[in-house]
Amino acid sequence: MTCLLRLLLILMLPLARPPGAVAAEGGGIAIVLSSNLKPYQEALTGIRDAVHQDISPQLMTDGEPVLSKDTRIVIAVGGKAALHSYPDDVVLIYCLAPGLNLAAKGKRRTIGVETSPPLQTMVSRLKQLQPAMKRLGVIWVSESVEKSLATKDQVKAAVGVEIVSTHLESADDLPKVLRKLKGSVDALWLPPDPQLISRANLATIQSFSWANKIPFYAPTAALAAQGAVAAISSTFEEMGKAAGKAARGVQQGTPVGGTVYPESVHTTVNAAAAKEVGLVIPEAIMIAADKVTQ
Amino acid sequence: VTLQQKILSFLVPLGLLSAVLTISIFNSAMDATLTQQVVQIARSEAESVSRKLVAGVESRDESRMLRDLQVSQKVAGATHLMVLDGAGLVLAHTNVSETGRRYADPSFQKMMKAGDVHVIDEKGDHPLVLVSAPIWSAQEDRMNEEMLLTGQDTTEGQERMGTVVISVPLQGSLATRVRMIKQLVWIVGMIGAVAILVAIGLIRGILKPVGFLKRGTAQISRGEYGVQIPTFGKDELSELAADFNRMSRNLSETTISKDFMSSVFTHMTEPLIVIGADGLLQMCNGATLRLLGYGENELSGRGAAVLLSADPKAAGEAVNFRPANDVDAEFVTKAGVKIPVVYSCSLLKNNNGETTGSILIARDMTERQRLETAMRRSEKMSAVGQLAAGVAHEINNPLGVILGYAQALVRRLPPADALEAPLRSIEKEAVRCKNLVQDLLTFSRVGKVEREPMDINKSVTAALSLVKAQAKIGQIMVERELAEGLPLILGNPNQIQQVIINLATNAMDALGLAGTISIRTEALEDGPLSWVCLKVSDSGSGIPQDILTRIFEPFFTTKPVGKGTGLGLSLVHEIVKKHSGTIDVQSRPGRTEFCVKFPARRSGASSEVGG
Repeated sequence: MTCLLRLLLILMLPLARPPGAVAAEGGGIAIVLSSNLKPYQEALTGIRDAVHQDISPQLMTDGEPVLSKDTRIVIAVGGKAALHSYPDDVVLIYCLAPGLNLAAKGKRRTIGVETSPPLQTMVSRLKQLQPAMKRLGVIWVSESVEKSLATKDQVKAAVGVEIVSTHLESADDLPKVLRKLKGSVDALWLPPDPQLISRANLATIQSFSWANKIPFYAPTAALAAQGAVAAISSTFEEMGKAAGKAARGVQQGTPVGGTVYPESVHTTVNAAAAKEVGLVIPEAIMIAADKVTQ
Repeated sequence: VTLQQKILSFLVPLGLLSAVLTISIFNSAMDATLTQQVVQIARSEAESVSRKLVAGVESRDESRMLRDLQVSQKVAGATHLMVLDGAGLVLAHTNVSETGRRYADPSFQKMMKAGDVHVIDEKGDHPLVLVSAPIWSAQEDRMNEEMLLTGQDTTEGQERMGTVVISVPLQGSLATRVRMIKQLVWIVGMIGAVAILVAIGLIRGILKPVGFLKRGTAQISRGEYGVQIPTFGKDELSELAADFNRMSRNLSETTISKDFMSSVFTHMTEPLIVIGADGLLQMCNGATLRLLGYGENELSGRGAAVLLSADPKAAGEAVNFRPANDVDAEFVTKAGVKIPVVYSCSLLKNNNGETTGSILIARDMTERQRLETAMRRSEKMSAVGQLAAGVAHEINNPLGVILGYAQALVRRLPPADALEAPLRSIEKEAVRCKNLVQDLLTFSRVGKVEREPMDINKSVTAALSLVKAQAKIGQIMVERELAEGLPLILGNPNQIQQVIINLATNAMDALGLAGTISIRTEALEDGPLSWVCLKVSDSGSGIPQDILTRIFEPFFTTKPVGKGTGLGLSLVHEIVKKHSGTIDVQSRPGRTEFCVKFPARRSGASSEVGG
């Protein structure tokens, strides 16, 4: 009888898992998406490609994510998924969460995937697009952006472009800051700052840019179509792939912490916007661009 | 219908159609544009106010919402704005009496969808545009992440709190449209009128050279070759006019040449015939037509054999295109009469040396043959005359001895002597021989008589007294018709009388016992020459055609032996010839007429007609 009860307990153990809990797959990796947004789906493809596993994601729109006991790594795609509270023993790797820096918020077991390439890489690409550029204005609201600008002095030394960084207390200060920057910068770069980038602010910046013939550059390819002259960024799939590789590194014993960058950098050019601001992009750069929109 | 009218009848309807289409398209486009503009304003204002209304909707503060609605009403020129909750309850309305009303019908619920646009009473007096915009709850900061990643706004995670509906009238835009259509119609009408005037001017300008060409062509068709028309500019019509002028000049030169050649062709005295390569007659000049008795166009296109069928060889040479010179042949007239000709034939060739026909020049040999015949006859007569004179001279004396002795012996014979009959027979035949000798002597002495101005009518009258006596023997009527005032002729009265008697005697011999003899005289003018004509005709059986040419030969007679000597008409012919006259005979069954013509003296008394 005792043996029979033990057997029943063993058979019923799986049923004791809380409802909604997802078994960690292959090495205890779970994937959580903020929503079913297309960029998140593309990043999921990159993650699966990097970890070599077809892991089913959990959507924040479906409710609170539930992790299994053997989950050791959570790959969060999107800010909402990244900001969710996960167990302390779980390593959180997040991507497609622009402006978010969890390490700065005291969370140690996290790895962030940057939306933009390293500052020097990005500025070098911008210099190729606009060879006459000497001063690049950067305006931002989120504190997290400041960290990405920490290497601006090295960039100036290496690329010859001075970064004029301007922090806004709130997005409402944008018109005032733009008026201040007029005549002191050759171009503007918008960092991936969700607190700054809205449709209204983009319209304001575009009007300022076109009226004063000051090219502005966007952090994502999607924003290049909103009036920016160009965007230096990675694809969402590359960002997911970078997150997947970080997860594999954690599995293999790599120390947790810091940020990682996608391996490839793409250049998207908006030829119509360049024409509006009177910027003549070198023919070779136009040919080498990954995407040119008219 | 002129060319100008044809072009205008095509252009004017086309222009009207274009104008109607243009106005129609412009009307549709403007209607869509103006409506779209109103819709855009309404939509923009609805979206704008929807963001401002979030707090008011959350707190259900009608006054707060009303302020925002009134501002938008003024900005958009809307008739009214209202805010509804998700169930269709009006939370606020610019017309406050509407607040609290509930729009629950499905059509209105459908209209309240985000961005939905409805045009109400579009064709009525007060058309409206209704635009609805959703009112979303306040956006989380995190939602800007999606804007950053996708470049698109998103409402995901936001709650729809209600709907704002704005109603904007379309009357203003419709009035604008009507005003602009009126202006467009006026402008199109003016442009159309100007275009028609310009088109008329252009058409006239274009057709002016065509008019010159038309007049020039008409002048050429009337035979005014060489006409020149003015040329304008250097366009195609100008080139056409220049070509026309060149053609006109060439036509003038070639036509003058052709006229000259035609004149030469027409005025040639010798027949000229052009035969085509197909053996058909292409051209016959006037001399040919006159000679053969054909009309102007009767010979064109007919086979050459129609002229030359009498001589297949000659026809063959002409039709088969073999050159020939001085070929004796006979043409056949339209009446079937043969005309002796001599012709030459040469070939016509084109630039490639190919034979295209033949040209035939003929010469009428009728007169020449007549002269040759007359000459031969004259020579024959002369020889006969010399022979007759010699023979008569040698025979006359012995014959006189025979006759004298015969007559003397007859007188000395006793009555009923047996030798009387033979001697009388000798006497009779000797007399006949003596008469014959006398005729021969007369024949031989025709040219040796003296001539004097004489009236031929007197000779006729004298001769008729002898002829009538002989005619009374039978039932022969002798008629005379002598012209008055005949000019005198230079002649020997005895010989002229001999001519009349011989012709009358010959006529009586031809009549036998009954018939009519007619003797007429008349004056005849033939160009510069004046003639006195003596015509002797009878109603006998006529002279056969095959002997007609021989009747003037000496010793030619159709009478029985002993009845005629065959010297009568020969003597007549010789006398007439010696008097520089002519004698012709025309004969057919029932009528034979001798026409003797003597040259009239240029001055002299007129003849008198005797009884």
